[in-house]
Amino acid sequence: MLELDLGLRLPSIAIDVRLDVDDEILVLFGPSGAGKTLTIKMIAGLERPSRGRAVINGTVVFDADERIDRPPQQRNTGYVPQRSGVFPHLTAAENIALPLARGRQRLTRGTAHEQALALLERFGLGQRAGAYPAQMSGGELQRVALARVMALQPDVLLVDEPFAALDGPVRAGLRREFREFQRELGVPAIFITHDIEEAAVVGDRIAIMVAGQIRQVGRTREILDAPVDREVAMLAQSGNLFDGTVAERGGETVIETPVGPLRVPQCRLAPGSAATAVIRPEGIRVMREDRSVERFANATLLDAVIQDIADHGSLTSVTSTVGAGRITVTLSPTAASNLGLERGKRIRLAIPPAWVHVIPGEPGEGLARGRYDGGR
Amino acid sequence: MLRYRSSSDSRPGAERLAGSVRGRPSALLWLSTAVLLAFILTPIIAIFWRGFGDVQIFDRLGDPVVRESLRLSLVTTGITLGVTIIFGTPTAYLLGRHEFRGKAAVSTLIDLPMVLPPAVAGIALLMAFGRRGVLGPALSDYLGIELPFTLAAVVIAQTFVAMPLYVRSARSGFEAIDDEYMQIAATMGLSRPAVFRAVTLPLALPALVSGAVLTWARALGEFGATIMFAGNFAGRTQTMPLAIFESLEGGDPGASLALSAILIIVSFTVLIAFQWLTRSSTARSG
Repeated sequence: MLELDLGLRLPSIAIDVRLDVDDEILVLFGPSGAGKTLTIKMIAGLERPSRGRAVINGTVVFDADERIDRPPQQRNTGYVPQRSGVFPHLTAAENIALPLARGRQRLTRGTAHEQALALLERFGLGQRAGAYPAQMSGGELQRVALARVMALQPDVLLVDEPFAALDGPVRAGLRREFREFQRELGVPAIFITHDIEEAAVVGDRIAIMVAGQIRQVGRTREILDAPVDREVAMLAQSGNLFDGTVAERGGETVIETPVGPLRVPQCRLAPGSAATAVIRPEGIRVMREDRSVERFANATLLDAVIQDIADHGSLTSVTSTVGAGRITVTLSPTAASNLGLERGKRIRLAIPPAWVHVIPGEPGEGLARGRYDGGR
Repeated sequence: MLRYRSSSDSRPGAERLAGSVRGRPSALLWLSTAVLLAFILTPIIAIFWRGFGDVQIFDRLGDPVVRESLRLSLVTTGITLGVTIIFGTPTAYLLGRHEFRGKAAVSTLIDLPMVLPPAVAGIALLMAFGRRGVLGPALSDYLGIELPFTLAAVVIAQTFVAMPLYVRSARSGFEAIDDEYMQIAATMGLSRPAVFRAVTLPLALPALVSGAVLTWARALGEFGATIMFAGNFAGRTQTMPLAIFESLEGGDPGASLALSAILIIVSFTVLIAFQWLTRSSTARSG
C-alpha cells in the first residue's frame, strides 16, 4: 500500500499529487514535462517535496509537518530509471550482486553471486551473466534492471518509461513479464509511460497527469469511455471528438456538431451551452447505406463516405467523412470484408447514445485542437 | 574524452562524417603530413643514432650520474603522484559533482600552474617557501623545516606544475557520470561511501588513471621550476632532466644521451598507455 499526498514547487512546474496505490500497477500517464518522473523521484527520496506526506507500506517516509524525510537508502523502493540504470562497469551478475552484498541485505559475496545467477536464470539471462551492459541489447538491459529490483524485494516499484526505447515485439514481451513480475512481488507499482497503448496493456489503473496535476484516475475503460475533460480525452485518444452546442430537437437533447446533431444520453446541460462529444471508435456501427435501421431505433444515423481503411490486424479502422467532419470507426476485419468496405464507398453509421460521452464546456485551452487521428 | 556512454547512445555524427568524407586524400595532404612527421622523428632518431654510434649509451647506463638521477626522478615523481592523488581527487570530485559559489574561480586557479611558465613557478615557490620567502623563515624557525634545495623541494615543484593535469582529467571523469547511477545505488540501500567506492570511483577510474599518467609524465620532465626552486645538486635534487642539462653543459653528451633515450622510451610508453586507457574505457561503454 502506498499513500501519497505530495506537493513540489519548482520554477518550472508545480506538482500536486494525491494517490493511493494498492498492490496493483498504477500507470502514471501524461505528456512529457507533466512531472511524472519528479513524482516518483519524490517517492524514492531523490527529490525533496515542498509539502505533504508519503507512506510506504505503513511507514511514513516523508512528512513535511513532522519533519520526517527518510533518505533513499531507508525507503526500500525499487526504482528503475528511464535508461535502465544498469551500471556500465559491472557485468549482469555483478549488477545484481552489488546491492545484495552492499545494500540493506548485506549478504556475503558468495551468496549474493549465487542469488544473482538464479535471478538471471529466471529472467532468461542465464547465458549472459558475465556480459557487460555495452554487450547487451536494450531488452536484456531492462531484464537485468528488473531482476536487480526483484533481488531487493522492495516495498514499492517505481519504473520510469522502462520500455520506451525498445522495438515492438520486445516491448510486448516485457510488458507481459512486468505484469507477472509485479504480481509475484505483490507490491504497489507506479509505471510511467506516455504511450496510451502501453498504459492500457500494463496498468490496472491509469492516472492521467497534466502540468503537475492528476486530472483523472480510473480503470483503463473508465478513462477511455468517460474522460473528465477534453484534454484527457485527447491524451488518452478516447476516440472521435466533436465540439458542439447543446440543443433541443423534438423533445430530445442533442449536440449540434460538424457531423450533424448527435443524440446523447440524459443530459443536464442547458440548451445553447458548449459541449464536446466523445465517441469510442468501437461503439459506432457500420452498415450498408441501404440497410434498414430498426435495430438502432434511438441511435443517431449518419451517412458517410469512406476516406481511408487501415488494417491493424485484429481490428480494421475506417475513416469516413460526414458532413463537415470526420469519424473513425473500428470493426472486426471479418465484418469489414462482409460489408465490402472500400474507399469512396457510401456507408451508414449508427451511433447509440450510450456510446456518446459528453464533456461540458468550451473546447480548447491547453492542447491544440485536433481531430482523432485514427485507430490504435 | 573519457566518458562512459549509455548503450543507447549512438553517434550519428560519426557515421555522417565517415559517410560524407569520400575519395582519396590529395598529394598535398600527404606531403605536409610527411614533412611534419620527419620534423618530429628526425631529432628522436638522432638521439639513438648518436647514442648507439659514437657514445654507446648502454655502457653509460651504469654511470653514477645516470643512476642517481634516475633513482631520484623515480622517487620524487612517485611521491608527487601520491600527493597529487590524495589532494587532487577530493578537489576534482568537489568540482565535478557539486555546484557552489566561486566554483569558476577555484577551477581557474587550479588550472593556473598549467599555463604559468615553469621558471616563473619556480621563482614563485622560492618567494613563498625560500629562505627569504614569505613563509620560509617561519617554517625554519618554528618547525625546523628547510625546503629549498631538498628532495621535498623537488616534489613541491613537480606537484605545483603537474597537479592541474590530474585534477582536470579526474574532474571531467566525475562530471561525466550520469546522476542516475548514484541515485539508483542510493535507492538500493548503498551508503554514501559505498556508492562512492562501488559506483562513482570505478566509473571515473579511467579518467583518474589517465590523469595520473599525464601528471606523472609531466612531473618526470619537470625542469624549470625544479632548477629554480630546488637547485641542481647531484644525488639530492638532480632529477633526470637536470642531469641531462648538466652533463651536456659539462661536455659529456654520453650521459645526457643515455638519459634522453630512457626518457623517450618512457614518454612513448606513457603515450601508448594513455591511448589504450582511453580506448578501452570507451570500448567497454559502447
